Amino acid sequence: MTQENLLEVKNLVVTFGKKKNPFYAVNNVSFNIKKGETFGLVGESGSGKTTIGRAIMRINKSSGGDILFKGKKINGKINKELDREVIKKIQMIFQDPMASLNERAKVDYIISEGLYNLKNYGSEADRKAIVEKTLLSVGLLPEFASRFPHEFSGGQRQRIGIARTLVMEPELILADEPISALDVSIRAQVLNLLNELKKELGLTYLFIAHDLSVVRFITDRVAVIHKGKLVELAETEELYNNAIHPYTKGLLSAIPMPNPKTERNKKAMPYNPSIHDYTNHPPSWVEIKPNHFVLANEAEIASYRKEINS
Amino acid sequence: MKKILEIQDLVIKFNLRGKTLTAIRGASLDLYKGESLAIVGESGSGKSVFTKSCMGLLDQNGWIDSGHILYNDFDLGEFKTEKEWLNIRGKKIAMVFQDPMTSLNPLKTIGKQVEEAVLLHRKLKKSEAKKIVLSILDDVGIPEPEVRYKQYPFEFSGGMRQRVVIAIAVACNPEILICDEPTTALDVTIQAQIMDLLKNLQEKYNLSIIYITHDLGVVAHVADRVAVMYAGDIVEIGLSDEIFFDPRHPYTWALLSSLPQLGIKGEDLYAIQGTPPNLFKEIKGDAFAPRNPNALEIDFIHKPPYFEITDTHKAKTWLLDPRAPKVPRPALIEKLILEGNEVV
Amino acid sequence: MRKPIQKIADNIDESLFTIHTFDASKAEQTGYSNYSYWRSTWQMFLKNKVAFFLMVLICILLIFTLIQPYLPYQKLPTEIYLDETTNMQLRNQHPSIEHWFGTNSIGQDLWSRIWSGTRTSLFIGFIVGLFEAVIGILIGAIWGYVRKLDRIITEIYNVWNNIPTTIILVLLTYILRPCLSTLIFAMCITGWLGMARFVRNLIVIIRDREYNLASRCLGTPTGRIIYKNLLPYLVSVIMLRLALAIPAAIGSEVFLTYIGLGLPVDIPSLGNLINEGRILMMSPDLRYQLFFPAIVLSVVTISFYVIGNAFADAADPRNHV
Repeated sequence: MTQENLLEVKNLVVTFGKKKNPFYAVNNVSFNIKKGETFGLVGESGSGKTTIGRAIMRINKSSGGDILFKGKKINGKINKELDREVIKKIQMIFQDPMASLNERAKVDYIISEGLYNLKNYGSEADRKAIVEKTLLSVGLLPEFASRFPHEFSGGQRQRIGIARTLVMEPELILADEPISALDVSIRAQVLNLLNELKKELGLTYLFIAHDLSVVRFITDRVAVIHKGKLVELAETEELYNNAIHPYTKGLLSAIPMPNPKTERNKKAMPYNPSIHDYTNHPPSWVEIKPNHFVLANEAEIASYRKEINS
Repeated sequence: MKKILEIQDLVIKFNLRGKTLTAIRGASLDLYKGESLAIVGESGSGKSVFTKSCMGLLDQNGWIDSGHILYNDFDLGEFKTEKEWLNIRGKKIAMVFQDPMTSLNPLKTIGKQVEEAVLLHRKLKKSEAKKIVLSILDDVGIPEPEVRYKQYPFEFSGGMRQRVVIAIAVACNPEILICDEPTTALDVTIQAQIMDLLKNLQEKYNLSIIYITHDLGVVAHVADRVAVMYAGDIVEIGLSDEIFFDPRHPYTWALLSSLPQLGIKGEDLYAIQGTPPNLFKEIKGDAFAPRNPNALEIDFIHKPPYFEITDTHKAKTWLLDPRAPKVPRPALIEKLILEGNEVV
Repeated sequence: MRKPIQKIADNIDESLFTIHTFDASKAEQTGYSNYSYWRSTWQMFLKNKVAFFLMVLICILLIFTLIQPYLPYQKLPTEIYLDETTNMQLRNQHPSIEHWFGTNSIGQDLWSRIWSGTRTSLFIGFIVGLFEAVIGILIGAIWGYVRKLDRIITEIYNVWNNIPTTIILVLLTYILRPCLSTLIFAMCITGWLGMARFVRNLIVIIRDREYNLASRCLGTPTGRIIYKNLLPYLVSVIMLRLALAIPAAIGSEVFLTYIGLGLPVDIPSLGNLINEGRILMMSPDLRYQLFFPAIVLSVVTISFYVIGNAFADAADPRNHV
């Protein structure tokens, strides 16, 4: 894992709605993703995590800030060549396998769609060979190419969605809750596949999720987002073992563990945003420990440091 | 403890595009008063169909082929008309569905909707009904009930809406509350609150709750007893501790093994091979056998009966027959049990 | 461990309790569903006996109108028949062996006039329907999908929609010669609006579904997204509108002829025939001249309507059992 930054997000702002009273879905978010790592973005519904993913994919327009891919700015207006490169190098896996495939198209077309767009193949035989190879690499049989999506189960459909992105030969894959809609025992299959592909093809992942137990298993670093702002960012084990921000703590304590002895008597510790008083002392993004960032104002930083040292 | 619901050898079939699908293949279940029973299973296991049949909510193309649902001296499986169900649905057995967005009528205020539920089964004056509604809204944890009474569903968040749905369900003081994945669509912090709410309501109203879910963490939090469902049959049932710390059926082992908490970074997660069986075809023997690396020859020929492990714990697997070879539990499960016991 | 129920377990051979060699490929056998959308649609449609019967009827009618001039014993629709003996026009003759539907007030054979008129009316209906479909879908799809054009096309639609069709027809008939092409032209340029709006509404509903987002992420151009992703979902509803457009066009033609803006008298059409018949409605003797064209018109309209609705119901995947 090199130290080179594949993706840099700087002060990203995404708003929806009228110009006078916009809704800040993403409010001044900054983070970097290094080449070869799996970066997790965790938050609840409405936190803005999907919006960030879509802004990077250029489906949503950004209203401020920069997104840099390999040093080049990719949000806003870009020229055709860079657009082509971005389409090729950054791809997305969607959440709902039932809705993310075109029901009326054969699997063959669904997987080849990217190839048709980029004209990235020689002859018709070439294209067929690429489709076959890709189906095999995601664990499906080549004969599935002539069938329709509705003939497959959720896990298989999600694999078709992954195959669709692989033909583009991407470097960065945004996985937007790729396993939330799948059955528990199928999730493991898809996660194993993602890990395998990462090793084989040297991919980098941005893994967006709300299921913290899965995120712990698959990511190297995690960022926690709440109402459009990042509240904490650290390496995965560090975050799970030494969470600092009260929202992160609340989130971690709410995960139900499969252990009846501890769970039965556990009481929920809800996060109350009013414990922060930001009227006179606005918070900033502080590196409170090496590679461990928190959103806090000075008073809070002082109390967090006390906690860490005690 | 008193047994209030007894389901015996239920077989439910559906007619789909000319073919017959056997969704439930001879499942049996007992429910005792005041307990929380969790039904765990994946999609296609039949858990929703199983409980819907207790309320008469099966789709038009489904029917109960054989078996009994015994409740209060009635056989609910024999009910043919809507009239017979009027006394049971809502009044004695109530249901909370998964998606709070579509469970409420968007055109009526929530106060009206809860009131409707109250007035349906009791004859009261409007003012008395309103008082009861406000107290129920308070019970389910909705702040400022007088203000919220006049609001419409779209003014509520997902968690609040689910609370309203629960309020409607308990409005008539039912005996049994069936919750079909009530927290799957909600955020994890809201999920924790709703689970605690249900626990509180259970104590206050002396409810028996059937919880349907696929999340073993949720099961650990709420359930007294757990039933594991696979391919339309209950393959293992026992106390919560017994299922988590002494699982016996290979499918239960497989479910517990796929927990991401057991994953070691850099290595593959345990994944169950293959896919669930095709319920259009008749299944010979144990339904889980093709996917079970520990399957015996007999698993492919005869369907296993229940084998009792303790008074409260039984499983449908030939591995428990005295003639079967001793198959040890997978290492992953032993690890889980060890870690689980350690924490305490 | 307590003993299991004796009766099942007793008769089983000991040797069966050995571990089965695990065959991973057997685990992959999935249930293959043999569902084909169009086959299911056709099956649902066939279940509706009335619609099927009417469809067969319309097909027969269509074929008949096309082959009728080539059958033996057919008279010409515009020729005025003279009585052989008196050399007078055979006016208002009742249906007879010579003239199967009788003759009209100037001696023309009604049977051939009706079939010629049906041909003309159906021709108008199909052409207008086709135009409506092609242009309506094209414009509706672009209107619904390309956000930038939404506003401007909506404004054009609003203006154009508010001009009454009748006024446009009057103007056009005044400027150009009143004939078949004028009528078709006028009906085409006003008819496409409804279809465009309809298609646009449907496209707006499905354009942001995940599979369309996925196509955009892959860089698929707009044209192919509309053609491959969106239109296939709209086929069934478009068919319904087409099926209703045909009787609507015929009805419009009848109405326009009624108010005098339609085809000239020398081109028989259902509208002309009904108009002629209407004048004679009061005398019970001559009512047959209204009777026959009215029946044909009713049959055509009702059939298309029923078939269209039945097909739309059958094509809805939610109705596929």
